[in-house]
Parts: sequence; C-alpha cells; structure tokens
Amino acid sequence: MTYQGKLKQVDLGAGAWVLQTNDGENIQLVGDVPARLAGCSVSVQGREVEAMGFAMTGGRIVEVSQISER
Amino acid sequence: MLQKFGLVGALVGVSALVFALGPTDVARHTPVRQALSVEVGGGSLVVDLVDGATPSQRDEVARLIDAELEWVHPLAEDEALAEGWVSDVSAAIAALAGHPLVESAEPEIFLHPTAFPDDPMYDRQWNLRAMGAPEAWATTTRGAGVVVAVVDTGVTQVEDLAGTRILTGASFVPGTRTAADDQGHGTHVAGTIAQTTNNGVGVAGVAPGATVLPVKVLSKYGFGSAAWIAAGIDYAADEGADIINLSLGGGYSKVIETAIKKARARGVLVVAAAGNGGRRGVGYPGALAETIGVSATGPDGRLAPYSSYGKGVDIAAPGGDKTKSGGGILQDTVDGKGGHHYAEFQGTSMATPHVVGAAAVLLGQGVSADAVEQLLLTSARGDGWNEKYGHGQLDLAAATQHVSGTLGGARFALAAVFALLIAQLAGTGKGFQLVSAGVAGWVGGGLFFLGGLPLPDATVVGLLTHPLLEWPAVLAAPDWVHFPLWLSATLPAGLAFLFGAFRSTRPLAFGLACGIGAHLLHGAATHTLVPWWLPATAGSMWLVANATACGVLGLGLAGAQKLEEARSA
Repeated sequence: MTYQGKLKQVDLGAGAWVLQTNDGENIQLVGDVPARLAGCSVSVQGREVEAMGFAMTGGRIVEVSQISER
Repeated sequence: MLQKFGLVGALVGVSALVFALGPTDVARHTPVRQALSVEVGGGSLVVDLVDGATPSQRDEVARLIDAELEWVHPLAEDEALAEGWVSDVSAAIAALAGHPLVESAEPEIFLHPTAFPDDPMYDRQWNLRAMGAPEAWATTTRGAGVVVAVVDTGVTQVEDLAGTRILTGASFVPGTRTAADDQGHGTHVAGTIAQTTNNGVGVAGVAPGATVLPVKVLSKYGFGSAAWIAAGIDYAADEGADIINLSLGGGYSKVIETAIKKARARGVLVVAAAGNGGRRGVGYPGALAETIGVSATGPDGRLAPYSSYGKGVDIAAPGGDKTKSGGGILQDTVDGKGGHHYAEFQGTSMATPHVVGAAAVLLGQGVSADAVEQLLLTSARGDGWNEKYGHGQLDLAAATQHVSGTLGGARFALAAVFALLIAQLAGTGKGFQLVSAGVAGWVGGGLFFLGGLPLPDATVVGLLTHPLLEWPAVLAAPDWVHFPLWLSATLPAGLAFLFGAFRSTRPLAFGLACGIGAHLLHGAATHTLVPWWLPATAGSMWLVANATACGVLGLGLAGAQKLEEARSA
C-alpha cells in the first residue's frame, strides 16, 4: 500500500517518525526512514501493522518498506 | 505460674504476629552509601567589610563583637572578607547590622564535598527534585532488593548503569537473541528508575537500589506486536518482577490485557504510559483499570503539550518538555553508534519510570503492592481526580513520610506492649510499667504522631520524632543505621550498665532495651533494617538474636526492679 504526505520527525523518546497525510491523518512510521527526508513531502510504501510502540502518537502504524521524496 | 506462662506466650505470640504481618514479596537488600549536605558552624562568623577596609578597621569591627577577625585568605584581602569565632553568633550579627564598615555578616556555612548525590549532572535533574526523590533517599533503602521489569527496547549496561544490578532478562523480538538495547529508549527508562547514583558519574535515578529485569519486546524501530509484549509481561511476572514498567502503548489488545491481569493477580504492580497524542484519549494499556496510567508534566509542573489525558490517567509525573531549556529528562543511554550518551528525552514514556521508581522505593520500605498503589495516588499533589493529572502529581516525599509515620506507629505500639509484658512477667509495680512502656514506645517508634505537625526543621525535633535506631540518619550519618553493632543489643547493654543500677533511671534503661528490641524485631520482619555485610538470612537471624538479647536484658532489669520494690515494701 502507498501512503503520501509530509514526513515529520517527532521528538518523543529517542525520536519517532510521523507521516501527515493530505487528509489530515497522522500515521506513525516504523522502519528505516532517512533523516534527510525530515520535513519533505514523501511517498511511502508499506503495510499497516497491529503493533504498539513507545511513540504513542495515536493512529495507525505503518511499517515502511520503501520511502522516497515526491 | 500459669499467668507467667501466659505472659511468655503473649510475648512469643506478639513477636510471631510481627513476622506474620510482615511483607513476603520484598527481597532483602544492601544499603547504598548516603550522605548529606549542609550544616551551620557553631560560633563561626563571616564578615564582609566594605571593599578596601584596612586591618585596623577590621580590628575596630572585631572589638565591637569581642572577637578576633582574620582575613579569610590573603587573596580575600581586597574583598575585605574576614572570619572569626564569636560567643554568640546572633548577637554579633545584630551588633554589626547597619555598621558603616560592614556590608554583611552571617554564620559560616560548611559545604561538604560529599553532598548526596555526587553525580555531576544531578543539578540538571529537575525531575527528581520535582517528585520529592531527595527527601525519600534520606530515609529509605532506595528500592534495594525490589525487582523492576523494563518491558521495552531492551537495556544495555551503559557507563552510568555500571553499579546497578541488572539481570540477564530476555528478548521476545524475532531476530534478536539478548535483551540488549539497540534503540536507546529502554536504557533511558531503566536509568530513570535505577541509574547508578552517588558514584561521581553522570546522573541519578529514583530508586538506585532496585534491580532491573530487561525484557525486550520492542524492535530497534521502537515497535512490537501485541504477542511479543504479552509474552514479555508473562515472562517478567514469572521471573519475579515486583513492578512492570510499560513505556509503550497503542490500541487495545486482549492478549496484553490478559497478561496484565494475570501479573496483577500475582501481586505485580503494572505502570503504563498514558500516550503522546497531546489530546484527550488515553492509549492502551495505560487506560486499563489494572495499570497505573501516567500522564507527563514539564519543569513548570504543567501538563506537557504532547501528553495524552482523560479517563485512565491515574497520576502525573515528570516526563519532560523540551520546548523549555533544559526541560527534558536527562539519563545515560546507548547512542546507536556503539557508544553511549547523556540525552534529554521527553514523553509519557519518561514519566512512567518516575512512578515505577517511586513504587520501588515504597516496596523497599516494606509496603505491600496494593498499599503502594493506593499510597502513590493518595499522596499525589492535587485536589481530587482530574483528566490531566489523575489523582495529582507524583510526590514520593509525602508517600515515604506517610509510611515512616505508619511504621513509627506500629513500632511504638509493639515496643510499648513488649515493655508492659516483660515488666508484668517480672511482677514490677504499675508505675514502673507505665513509665517504661512510654520510654520503650518513644525509643522504638519515635513520637511519630508529631510528624504531621508544623514543627521546625531542627535536629532536636528529628530526634524526638524518629526511633533511636534511626538517629544516625537525623544526625547526618545515615549509613550507620545499618551498621551491625548499632543494630544489636550492644547499646542497650551499655546503657543498662550505666543506668540500670539506680531505681530512678532504671525505667529508662529498661525502656531502651525493650524499644530497641522491638525495633530490631520489626525491622527483621519488614526488611526495613538491613545489617551491612550479612547475607539475607544471616541478617534476619542477627536482628532476631539481638532482639531476644534485648528482651532478656529487659527481663533482668525488670527483675532487679521487682526485688528493689519488694525490699522497700
């Protein structure tokens, strides 16, 4: 599945990634996310996982398989 | 004769009851070095004269207060800073007030280099002071012997965890074989709970005496499946954890709820983060009734902007607010490059271990798990429950003070009953029984009921309100409370030698023996007294043997009293 939006680094715990989608949803991203993409509009390929984590930003959690700048 | 047997039976029965009512879920422990900070030098005065004051002007001032003033240091001559002994400090200060040559005069204060804790970055830990940790450190064993499971990204024994007891633990994350931390979150959390403290390195932790059980359930990306987390919670309970720290959350999971309910039914406390949504709605498992849900506050004591709130929040604790300078929670953790660093984190993840550390300190005082949960909430600073702070802000100082008062009450009663039973056994007069029961109660429990009054923070008040065996803590040498010879019949025996021979002072000697004996027995049963060097069982046997010796000593003194009463009758 592909998700699109703005990539935001969240200062919680050791740091977390959130994708702000165009329709206002905050999706927590887990996996390898290059720090250079912070603040960029990105396209994320991944799958939604039933999981818990330390970021606890609420909303869905997507495990990233590929991420690129749009 | 039957009555004598009855009294002996009552003595044994009361002693057995103390042990029967003592906690069984708190392990034994060794105290850590403590210490303290500031004292006022008796009669020594520091006088700051106007800059450029000459030696003759200094001597002119000295004559006013009948003292000899010397420059503090040759290099302080420019600043005209002088010091000297005076017979009455307050009178001297009053005499110098307003004098044109004197800028200020004050008692000399000696700052001890051994101030506790000596961790160089402790000054940046506003969070520990905000929750009342320093006050609790002074009067408790700091969670020693309590096992705390950190169910998280793992724990690595970084530089400032070197002196902390960390068990092997386990990982439930596929592809990892140990509970080592490959992320940084879990080690930071473990540090807040039990960072090695007073080691001259880095920072301090809330309960540095506690033992950490690392349970890795979150991957290096900081997430984990409900199955991994539930398995980790089961494992922690099986391994004997007293408290489980869950600085994690998300949606509801039945398997996690079941694991938590099972752990809770086994007497394990479970503390969980409220979540970082910054809005109403607490995440799971923090929202479960079986967990203590924790919201986060910043250095100003207000709810941190990221903290979730609402039903499910039970208590608020420092979680940091990095929008304010120095407002994060500082601990030592892995840096992701094979090393470690002291990093400020923020989140309800960081608030949770403050509550866990506080619970460890209280468990270490001999309080049961259920009572700890209640005490944390009832002692929190707040006016009833609200959705931001739950029952209020974590206040470990108030909680430990409450426990000390309760323990004091129990010891006072026990000591008084001991004295009455032994005196009756010897057949002494009622007057002797009543006076010595009062002395024994004071020696064994202190005048605990005065603790809640607004009394001045003076040494004499501390001595009155604390049991005699805790006097070293009042007199600035807390370590000595657990010195084996102090926790023995040596002192009562010496005092019996001094005071036992005279009728007028015998109630004092007898009350001391009974009071100390009762405190030793109570300390053995509740694990609140821990003789140095001795392993757990030997330590307990030492206390009970010495309590018995105190009892025998008391019986001898009461016997002497009976003989003297019979002679004079």
